[in-house]
Amino acid sequence: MEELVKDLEARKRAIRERDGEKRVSSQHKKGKLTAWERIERLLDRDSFSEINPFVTTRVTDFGMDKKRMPGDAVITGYGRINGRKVYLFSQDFTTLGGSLGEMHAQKIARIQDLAMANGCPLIQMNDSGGARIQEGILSLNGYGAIFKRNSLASGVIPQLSLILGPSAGGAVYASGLSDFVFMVRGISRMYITGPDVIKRVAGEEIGHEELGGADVHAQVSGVAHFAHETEDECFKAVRRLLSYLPQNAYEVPPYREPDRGLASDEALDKVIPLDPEESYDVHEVIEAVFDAGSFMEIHEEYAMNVVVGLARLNGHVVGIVANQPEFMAGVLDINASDKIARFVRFCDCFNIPLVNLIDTPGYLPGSTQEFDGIIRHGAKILYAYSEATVPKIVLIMRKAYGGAYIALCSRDMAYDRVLAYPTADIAVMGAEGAVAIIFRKEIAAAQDPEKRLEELKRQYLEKFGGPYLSASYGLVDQVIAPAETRRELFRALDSILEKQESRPEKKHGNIPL
Amino acid sequence: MAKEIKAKMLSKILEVKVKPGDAVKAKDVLLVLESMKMKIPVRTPIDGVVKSVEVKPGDTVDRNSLLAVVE
Repeated sequence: MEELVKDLEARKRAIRERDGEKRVSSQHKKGKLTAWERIERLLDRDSFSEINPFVTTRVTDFGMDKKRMPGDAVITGYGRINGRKVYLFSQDFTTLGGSLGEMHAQKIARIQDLAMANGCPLIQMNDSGGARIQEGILSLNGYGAIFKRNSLASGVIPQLSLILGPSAGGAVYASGLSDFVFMVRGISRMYITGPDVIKRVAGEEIGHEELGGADVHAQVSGVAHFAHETEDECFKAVRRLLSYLPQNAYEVPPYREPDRGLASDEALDKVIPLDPEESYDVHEVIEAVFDAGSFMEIHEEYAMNVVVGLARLNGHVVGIVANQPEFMAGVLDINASDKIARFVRFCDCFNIPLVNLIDTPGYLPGSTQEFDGIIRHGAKILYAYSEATVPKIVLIMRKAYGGAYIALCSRDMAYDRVLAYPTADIAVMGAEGAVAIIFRKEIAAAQDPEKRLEELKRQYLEKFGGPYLSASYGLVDQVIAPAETRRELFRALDSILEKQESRPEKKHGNIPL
Repeated sequence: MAKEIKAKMLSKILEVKVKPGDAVKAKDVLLVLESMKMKIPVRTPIDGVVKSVEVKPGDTVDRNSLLAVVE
């Protein structure tokens, strides 16, 4: 037995040390950590157990039998983050470029199955040159096996993807199918076809970072939810994000004792300007209302006209969707619609109540938006909120016009509780536009059309402005002073936290994509 | 440490409230932009002295255009 254990230990050591100094330094020279270092830094200390370290490729073509490596260029296993279980894989770029062959894919698929069966989050650490060409179609089919599992696990367990090197070609879809994508500036790159192919096919010259770096995906494409300076910063964000999430769709998010009470905050009375043309930063409201320092913004640099993220309200995790008046007046456009709908659906999957903070003039007008399909993209917001059965609270802070009112505030469409500030302006459109249409003839016939318009606008605002007409219809449940926001939002949440709602039984819906 | 203040989006400069050499406190408004018919105050994130102002009223700026430097 002693001999056998010695042999086992030697084999394990060989695998663990397979990287050797040369391989480790080749990775470090690129500014990257090794696959093992990543696991150690991400997880709680000494919590990792590897699964299938001895697996290796069965293919012998093109000299693969001589390049064979135990582990097949990916480390898979399970460990803990903040004491809670996670399953993960970490691709090893120093072995065969982290390329994905048949057995590499099988190892990943196995981890996915285990994560699903045990109801634990899945963390995918990508650093791979792509399909292993020597393994041909076996490699491609391997991707298929992984993507199917990503799709089936969607809405069952949280799936997080970290792009810590290249992720190119079909490989990107394991991340595309995930709930959250994290990237690191300078080392992450993600694209369907790289710069070389683009140059050959389209004649366009573009660098790796410009085509598929962290900033591109965090700011322009919206593929990445988070962009970080360093891998350590990225791991910290992953650990933080998981602290808001339940392990799976059958649990509720973790409660954390709040470190502030529900006392009123007079400073909030001064945040929302009375002049409708004056903007402010909605982060100020979020910071003042939710538990101190608890807001974790998602898609921070993408479609900044809307702010979304997770926070705690008196200890309970909530998902916040807030218009940002400071950016494009807080309008809804195609990108904002996608950002909101995706976030709302995530929250609904994982039992996270939603809080909308509303101040938006509506959907962005323009031919570009129409041609690019604002109708089908905007419809995603309606679909996502109508479908969601989690508690949903609205706070109308200022403007709530037209389509944006329907999507984000309409009682009969989706919302359990609608609160409003005295500054709320709820209407089909702004007063000026409304008056210009309703009284078109009268204004045209007036001696001084501009003066008449102003008069009518004032009359219109007196009658229809503010929250009280909507409140008289029962479409606003309560009007609150800004200073009381934290307490009122919490009480609204508390009153519907255990709400049960059902939806018609069906195979699945058909969200407009 | 110098802090570069940049525009977040395509917008027009409505008002410039500071000039080089002015002392400013964090959250003071440096300039006011206009975009989508909305006035947008641009604030300094740090205490310091205005080192330069790169725009004047009426200018149009794009995302990431440099507006001012505070140090």
